Amino acid sequence: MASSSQKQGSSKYVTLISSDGFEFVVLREAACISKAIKKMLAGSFLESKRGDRCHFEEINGIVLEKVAEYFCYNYKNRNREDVPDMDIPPELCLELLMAADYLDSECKKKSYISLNYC
Amino acid sequence: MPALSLVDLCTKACIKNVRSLTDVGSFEYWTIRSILKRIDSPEQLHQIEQRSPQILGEDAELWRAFIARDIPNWQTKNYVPKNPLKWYDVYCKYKKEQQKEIERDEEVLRNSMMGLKKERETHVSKVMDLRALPKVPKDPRMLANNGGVPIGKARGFKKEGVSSLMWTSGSKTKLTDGKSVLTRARREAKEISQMSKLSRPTHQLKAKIGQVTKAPAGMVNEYQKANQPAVRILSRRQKPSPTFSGSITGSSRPSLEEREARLRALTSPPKNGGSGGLKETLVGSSEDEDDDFDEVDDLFDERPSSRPHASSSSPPRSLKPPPSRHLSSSPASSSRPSQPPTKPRPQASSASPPLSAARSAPKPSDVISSIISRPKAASSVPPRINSGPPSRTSSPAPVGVKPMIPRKRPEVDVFNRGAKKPRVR
Repeated sequence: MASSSQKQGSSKYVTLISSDGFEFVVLREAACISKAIKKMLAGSFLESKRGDRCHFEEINGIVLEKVAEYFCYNYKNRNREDVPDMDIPPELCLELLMAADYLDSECKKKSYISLNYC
Repeated sequence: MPALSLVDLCTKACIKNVRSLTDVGSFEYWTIRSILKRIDSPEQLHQIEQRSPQILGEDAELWRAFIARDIPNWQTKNYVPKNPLKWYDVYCKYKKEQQKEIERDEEVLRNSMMGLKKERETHVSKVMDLRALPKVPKDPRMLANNGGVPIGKARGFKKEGVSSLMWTSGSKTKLTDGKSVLTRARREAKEISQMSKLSRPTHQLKAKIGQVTKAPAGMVNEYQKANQPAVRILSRRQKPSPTFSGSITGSSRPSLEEREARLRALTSPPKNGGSGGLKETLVGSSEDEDDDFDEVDDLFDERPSSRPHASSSSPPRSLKPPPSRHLSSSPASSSRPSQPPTKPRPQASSASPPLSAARSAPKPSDVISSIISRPKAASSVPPRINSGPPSRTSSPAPVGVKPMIPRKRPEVDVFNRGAKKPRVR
């Protein structure tokens, strides 16, 4: 579902799309702590004048969901002190780490070998 | 600080679950380095290495850490793999060598422990059955004299033997080791076993010491006297006694000279025809004085008259035994100093022959008294005999004289026995 942006091409929310087609809508501000997303959104803006969709081909829906959750969690606690850690299930932690690592890094598209969950 | 970054959060979560980590996928080493550092098992690391070979060259530090942790003396060996990819092999080598050393040490320890144990077992003391013990060989020298050995020559060297119970007897065998303990134990056992044996066995005891071989002298005398035939006690009044019992009493009747004169007259009638006038000089006529003392009669009157009458008439009074005749060897004779040595009479103390003609000098008084005593037997005056025992020991009753029932004086208790029940003779 496309998010309608009232402003000039920049909407408040952005959509993150996983490799398996799941879409997650988060605040733009929340998502842009990740530099990669920021760049992606900017690039997509340039391409389609609606820089509010990010498509992640390596990250599957479950992991992306966690990522979105993290975005919210982080946004909510941006002014708080001593926040409790977000819970991450063990089976996700490795992939999530991988995704987080990707998102933090510069937006370089890498192809990751599929991880084997233990 | 607001929430951690997702990377950090994930790292944290991964470390929490590191034990389950077997694969890091395509992670770069540096990404998961912090997680890998938290691995405890080298095998797990090796597993991860195999699955994610991109780590291989990088994780040397991890292996070093493992080696340092597990192998104490790794620095002495300090293996460095030629191929940096093969740190695991290095670790394995270390491990093997360490295991060998451990086993070697264990073996040594085990051997020493077994040795100690064996030593302790051999030195332990067990409770044994008495019959199972080896018997102490009988020393033939120790058997003499029925077990109590000392016999014989070495008198001065005689030890006390086993009569005293001394637990420390014997030489000073110090209890240093088992051998000396056994030595002393054997010796003490031997001594104890001989404790019950007499040094001098019973049949060799000097029983003679206790046996009575001789009777005591006092008893001997008593029994001898008792066994002799009854002695006739010479009594002055009564009679005649064959004995010269010392009746040295003073009661005088017819004087000595008179009696002797009479006797001679009687005995030798053919000679003289019974002259009564003969008077022989007598020896020791000191008795006359004593005789007079007891005279009830008027001394002055009767005395002279008695003499001439003496021969003819029998004195009204009973004769008393001539005091001078006390002959017995007893010291009592000394009581009368005046004992006339009229010892023409045989003075056999104890074994005088029977008063018969065998006597050299006849005893005139005896004959006279014997004659006179017959009528006078009834009236008897308790004889005054000074010494009782001597009278008994003197000669037995003369032949021909009527035996008198000896009157026994009450025994004198010379032994201080105290009053006893009367003896049955």
